[in-house]
Amino acid sequence: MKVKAAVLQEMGRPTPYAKSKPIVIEELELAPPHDDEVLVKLLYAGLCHSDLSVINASRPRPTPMAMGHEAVGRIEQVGSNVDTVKVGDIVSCVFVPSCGTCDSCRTGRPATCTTGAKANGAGLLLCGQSHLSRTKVSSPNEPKMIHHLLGVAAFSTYSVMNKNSVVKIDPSIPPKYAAVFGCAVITGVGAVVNTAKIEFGASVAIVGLGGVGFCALLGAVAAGASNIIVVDLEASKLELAKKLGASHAVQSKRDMSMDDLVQSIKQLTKNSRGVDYAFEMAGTGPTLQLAYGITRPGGTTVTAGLPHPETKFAVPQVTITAEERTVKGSYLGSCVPTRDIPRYVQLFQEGRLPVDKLVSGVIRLEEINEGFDQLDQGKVVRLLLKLHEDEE
Amino acid sequence: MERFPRLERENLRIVIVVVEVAWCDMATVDKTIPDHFRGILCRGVKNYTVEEEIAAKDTLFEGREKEQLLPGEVLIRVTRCGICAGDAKCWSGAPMFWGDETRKPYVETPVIPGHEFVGEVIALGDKEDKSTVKVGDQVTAEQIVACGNCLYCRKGLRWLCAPHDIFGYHRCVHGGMGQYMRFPEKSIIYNIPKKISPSEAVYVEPLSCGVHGAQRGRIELGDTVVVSGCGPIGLGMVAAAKLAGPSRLIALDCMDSRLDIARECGADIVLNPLKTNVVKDIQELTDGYGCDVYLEATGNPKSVEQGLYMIRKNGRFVEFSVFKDKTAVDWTIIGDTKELDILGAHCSGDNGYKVAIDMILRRQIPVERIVTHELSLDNIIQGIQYVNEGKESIKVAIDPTK
Repeated sequence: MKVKAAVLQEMGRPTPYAKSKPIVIEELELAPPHDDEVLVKLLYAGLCHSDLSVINASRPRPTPMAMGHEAVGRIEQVGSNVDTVKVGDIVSCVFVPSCGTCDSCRTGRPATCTTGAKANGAGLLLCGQSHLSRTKVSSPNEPKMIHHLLGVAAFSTYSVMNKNSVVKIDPSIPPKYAAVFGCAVITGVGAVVNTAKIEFGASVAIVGLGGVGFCALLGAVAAGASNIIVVDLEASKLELAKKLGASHAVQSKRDMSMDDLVQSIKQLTKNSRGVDYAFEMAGTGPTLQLAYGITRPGGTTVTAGLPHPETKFAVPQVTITAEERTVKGSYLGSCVPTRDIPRYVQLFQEGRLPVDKLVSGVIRLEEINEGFDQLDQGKVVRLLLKLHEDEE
Repeated sequence: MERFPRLERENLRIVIVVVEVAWCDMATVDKTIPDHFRGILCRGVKNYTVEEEIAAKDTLFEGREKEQLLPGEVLIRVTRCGICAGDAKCWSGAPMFWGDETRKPYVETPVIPGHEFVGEVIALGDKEDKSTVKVGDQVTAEQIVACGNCLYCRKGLRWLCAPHDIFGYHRCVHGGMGQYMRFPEKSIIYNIPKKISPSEAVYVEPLSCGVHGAQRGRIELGDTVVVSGCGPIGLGMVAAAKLAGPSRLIALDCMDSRLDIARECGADIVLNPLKTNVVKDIQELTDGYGCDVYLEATGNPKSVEQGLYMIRKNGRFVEFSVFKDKTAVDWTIIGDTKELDILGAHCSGDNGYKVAIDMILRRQIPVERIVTHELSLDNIIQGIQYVNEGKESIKVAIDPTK
């Protein structure tokens, strides 16, 4: 069938993207689902910094690539082997298509599925192929095959995914808010409650208030943290964070010295020792340095950030030993999506995870380059793409 | 002059003492502290007496002169002291306090009982790092004064300290059911902001135990948590568990009046095991799996059984209570049937007090509904009876100022 999709032509074009137009809305041919796959009609998709990282080449992927990985949609068709969802189900998309049979999947850690990671790295579905192709090419050098981002390719009117890339969710939740569960919510909340497993009463710091950082804030509030410090460059985001339960909001400035910033944040903690848990949710070297610096001796620093592959984590190595530090990576919020997405959806419905407050605006496919400019400038939390005008 | 016959001689001694202070770090104690004060003495089984003149020298100062407050010691004027179920059981003669064929006696008599106390600092022994506490502060201290040397203290489990000097049971740490108390140097003292009244602060210790019990349950966001028993500990567990964000917090008690308070503490659902099949209710709520966490705070063998049946495989079962009767279950359920985590809990853990004071400050628990009775020292036996019956009261406190 014919679909309209946001296709990244090549990585590394300069900002503003409104001018350089790295993403072109193309008409593509979408092949039907195999036995283990589903056809999804996308309703809303979120613009995540991980998408931006592909555009600006910090997270290299093969191009041309159909973008988007955080979305909510409706199942239109199922392959003969699919028994977890049926036609008509509302689903959240998951950006690791866990195979279910490798060692990681078998030990309850689908985020680190090896087969899924391999498929994602190649920009293909779990079956090893792409289902997207250009209907016509203008020259023989122009590639016909289009890659899928993270097995989802959600910036599209329709997409085909492996059955393990979708999790059925309660259809009563407004689709606009359902979109963020597939990435921001599980990554952010999961970092706090699965990776770190904070205790109620713990002190917490969150560095970086994007969609994932805000969800970490909501997770920390929901899990009973007693002192929550948030750090960001943007005053408007800090304002929102305080409304959502942050105890202290610290505005960092690019020209501030790291030491000064670390000291001023530590003064907000008991005996100025630092926090029990610091979460780095921005994906840069300096922000992880900061998060590490404000963690107390014996405390835990968690990072869910995905910086450029050449970024190195530079800290005085002696402190790892002398202060008995723990540094943990958090991918997919260490979640089991089939368990955690419905769990977090329920918490949202009970009012405990007000993720609706994170939606900064809704745009159309045609505005996608402008949308990424806004995200790049750090001004928005979550922008959503609405894929069909005739849907809610 | 007749009232203070030794004063003239003491004038000279004071001069010498002042000189000595610089060398020996001993504080002069405000002379408004009397030589004798009013309080309760535990003398034996069902033998708690109201004493008009407890000698400060014998009790608070362990035979020292009352001017000799050692470095790090703190003298407080007690404003309130709670009566624990443990105190009531001690009065009644429970073997865990008085000993039997299998255990030595724990309580040393005569002792001023009481470990749930709050008061105002009136004097400090000199010590630089105790500068966090000043005269006039409202304070409490951890109920246990850890030795620092035994296996448990060295492991960082000070609440399990082997010598186990808990205020009110050992004579080196007389308790709070009197007008004055002395905190020894090894006490861990907490400042309680005066925004919290003494009537609320008296609940800090029991709440700290509830906090520790809830923490042992390792509650995760979205869990189904059941608290069995809505006395002072159970209600504290409900309020503390609530902070961890369970998707359903269920409280169980056989008294509807206590269930009402559990709701005010944050329980989403309250059930009375006398009126409904709670095991079946919980199984239905959880698609047949069972609850993730069961916090047992009744001390009743029936509650233990019920918990083991309603908890899911690999769930966390926390046991806090002191029991009168033995519990009998088919032990297979622990391993082969359900691979459970059974977690005991005792006292306040590492940070129970800190979290408890924070919870009261932030009004995260309706303390005024839990501290139901405040009695004068004269009414100690009535207070103990209230606690033993557990019908009209929840937390009963003694007000030594009355």
